[in-house]
Amino acid sequence: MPEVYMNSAELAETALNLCSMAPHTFGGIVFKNASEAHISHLRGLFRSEAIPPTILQPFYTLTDLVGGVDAVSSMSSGKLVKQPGLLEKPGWFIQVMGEKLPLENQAVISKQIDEKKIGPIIIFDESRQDDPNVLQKISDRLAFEIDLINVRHCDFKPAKPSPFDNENHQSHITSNQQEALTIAAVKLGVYSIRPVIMAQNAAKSLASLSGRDLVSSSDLELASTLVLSHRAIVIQSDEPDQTDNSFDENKATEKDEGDELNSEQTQLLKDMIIEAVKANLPNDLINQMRISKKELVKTSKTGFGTKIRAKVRGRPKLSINGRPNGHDRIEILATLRQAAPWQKMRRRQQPDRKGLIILPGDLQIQQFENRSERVIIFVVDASGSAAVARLAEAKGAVELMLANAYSKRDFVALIGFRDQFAQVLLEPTRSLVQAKKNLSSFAAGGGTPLASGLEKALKLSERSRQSSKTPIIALLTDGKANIDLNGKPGRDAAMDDAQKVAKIAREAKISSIFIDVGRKSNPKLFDLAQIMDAQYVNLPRANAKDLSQSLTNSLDNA
Amino acid sequence: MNTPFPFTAIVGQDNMKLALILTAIDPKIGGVLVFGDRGTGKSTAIRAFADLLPPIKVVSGCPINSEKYTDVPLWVDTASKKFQNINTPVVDLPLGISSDRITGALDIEYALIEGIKRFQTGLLAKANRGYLYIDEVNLLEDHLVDLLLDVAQSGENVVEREGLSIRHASKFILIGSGNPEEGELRPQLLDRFGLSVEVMTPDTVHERIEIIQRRDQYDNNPEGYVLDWQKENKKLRNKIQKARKNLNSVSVDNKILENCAEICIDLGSDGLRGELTLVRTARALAALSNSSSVDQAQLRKIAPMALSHRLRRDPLDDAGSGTRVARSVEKIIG
Repeated sequence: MPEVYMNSAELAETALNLCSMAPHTFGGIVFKNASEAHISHLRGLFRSEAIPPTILQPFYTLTDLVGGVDAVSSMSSGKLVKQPGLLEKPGWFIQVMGEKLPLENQAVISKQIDEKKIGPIIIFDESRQDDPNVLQKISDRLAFEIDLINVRHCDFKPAKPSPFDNENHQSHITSNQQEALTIAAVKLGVYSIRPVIMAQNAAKSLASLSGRDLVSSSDLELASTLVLSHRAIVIQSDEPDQTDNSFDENKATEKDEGDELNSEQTQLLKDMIIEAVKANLPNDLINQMRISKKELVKTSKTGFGTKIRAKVRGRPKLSINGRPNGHDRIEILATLRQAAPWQKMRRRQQPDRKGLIILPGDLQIQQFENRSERVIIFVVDASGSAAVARLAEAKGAVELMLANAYSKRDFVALIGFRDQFAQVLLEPTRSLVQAKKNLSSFAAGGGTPLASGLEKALKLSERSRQSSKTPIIALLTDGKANIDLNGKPGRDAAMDDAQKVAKIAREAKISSIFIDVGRKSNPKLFDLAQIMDAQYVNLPRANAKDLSQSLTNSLDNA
Repeated sequence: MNTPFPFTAIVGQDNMKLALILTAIDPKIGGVLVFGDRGTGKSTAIRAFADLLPPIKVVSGCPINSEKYTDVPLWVDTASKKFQNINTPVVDLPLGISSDRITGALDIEYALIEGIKRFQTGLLAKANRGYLYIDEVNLLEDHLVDLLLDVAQSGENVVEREGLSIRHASKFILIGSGNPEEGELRPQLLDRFGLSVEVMTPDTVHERIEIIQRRDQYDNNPEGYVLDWQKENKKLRNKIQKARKNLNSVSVDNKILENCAEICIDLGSDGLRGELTLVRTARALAALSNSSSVDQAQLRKIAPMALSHRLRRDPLDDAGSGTRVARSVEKIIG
């Protein structure tokens, strides 16, 4: 009977065994925070295997992974030479430096996993705790994740996965157990169905490993620990749910209790599963929860593909010498031009070859120039509470930014808010002259319609996105909002509306910077920045130059 | 080992299933956009759907699946005079693919080594008369999106590069799926999809348990499980084929047309594509349910999937777009 509360080494060993037993069911294992010693031990496990594991590097191209034409050897031999993909190899795969794995490689590997064409894969994810989780796409398909952060390497010596000799053994799971597993997953905040299916299969495989026909409760516990614990986001007590999960928690609970679905046995099993998972969770769960929530938002913000995109579109540049890699385009004309002068000489060396003789060294790769354009949207408080002088400084900052913008290809827009509503003072522009003209006529004074200002900024951002520019909102205010979206006075309503807009802005994933220009930093504005996931800077006495300087700094970090 | 999960055995997700079936009845409806969280069975459903579709007759050896011999493009030299039945093509468009692989391009290896100019067909050729499935469509690179938009609109793939000048039919139904948390879709591409459905993780424990149990049965014996559901699948396939025949005889009276227009005006959806899709989809649903004309109940049922992605985003209306459509339908049909 397996011991349920296992240490990481034992968990890893079990996971390895399960993967080698049914690679297509479990996909593989992610090891987090593995040190050099951990990695070399794990890699050592497979060294003596008949089929050595395939090591995958993050910089491998798609052609390396799925195969294609080996253009280089094709050309030197004058025949079509195909190159098999690494992923076609049998046996285990080890992906090193998983945190650097580009999305397209993940997509390709994920597809192979979905189509059950690839052996078990071990990923070493060396990202730090608060880095965005870039592996989400693939790690969803791998059943196991083991965190080695507090595991001393001398304690971590999992054994080699033993070959499983009883392939056709099938264990069965009762419907009570299935129900318990499903409900427990919901209570743990695991809403995706895939992990539940994996946990079910893990329980069955664990039973098979020990030669049992029926899944025991300890199989179920261990399976849940392995599959569910790193995916859990909440531990639900019976109190009402406090997190704003999209999943309708209460509905589910009501339903299952109303229908008396929970027999006593199911209930017991469910509690047991939750306990088992809990035991394997770090104590600072609340912290953990926050991180994983933030991750969700952050992932998308890192903007997959900015790097990928850069190479394949934009204005064509001079082509350079290079090797084909399945992604870049070969520029035929330049290649031919390169090869042409040598034809006579090469023909003498290889008289029986047909056609042009092109050697790998002739190949020219098309280059593109693509700089993404940004729109910096200044949202400036021109109310009475923010000193009138602020506006002048903001204007100055805009002009300074514009002066630099020409080299940086940034667009600048300005929205002012005062009295009742906000107003777009300057549509996104790169023209300094136009900016100066529009800015000179804007007066100051009146209430602070912060929400309206943010709303206008949001709309402008969406418009800029449609013309594929990246919007950045820079808000300058003291945060003493007192006019709501309808133009009615009232501090509370004004702040509520501002928070609503901020939430939408966060969802739209617009990077933003809040600059508090009040004499003391305003905690309400800080909270608002948090809601919008914006940077917050307090600059009480900045002049135009400081302002543009600190903006430039934060923009470059953004 | 690669028997897909039977389409009819998928628990819940009725909207997604209905949308897919309707496009199979009337391909003119356009594509389907499926938005949802991870692990909601998007990919499973679409792969299963491929298996369900009735086979099509093609000229054998034709790279673009031509129906008649006269449709085979002139540059094709591999086509024979014979015909064969193949499964309706469902082509996967992986992320990170190059535009050459999509449109087809000069066969570079062939050109450099043999010195012969030859066209190597791409995915758009393969997808002709079938489906083009883009997983994670919201992460697709912009220049590929532009390219697909153009072909989806014209039904023709034109390649003009490296001295090639090639065109061939490429009529396909676009199916996109994605997770909205990871990125938004450009409005132009959104509009190009006929229907959009949002899939959620099933929210009753009952359904979830049902899924787990069916999955268990399938994993224990995939072939046997598929066999068990074969009858259901066949029934559905026959229903689709019957509905295809009925489609032209379904009438849409003026009252319904008026309703469609009113709903679109009320929602302020841009352009006329909304109305057209609304009418077409309602007609396909009528054909599916064996009625001779479209009624308001059918309109009500399909309005959210035909319109919800065409609304102007109102950053201050928290209600989901589906709810807004339903509200408007309520107001007009009553």
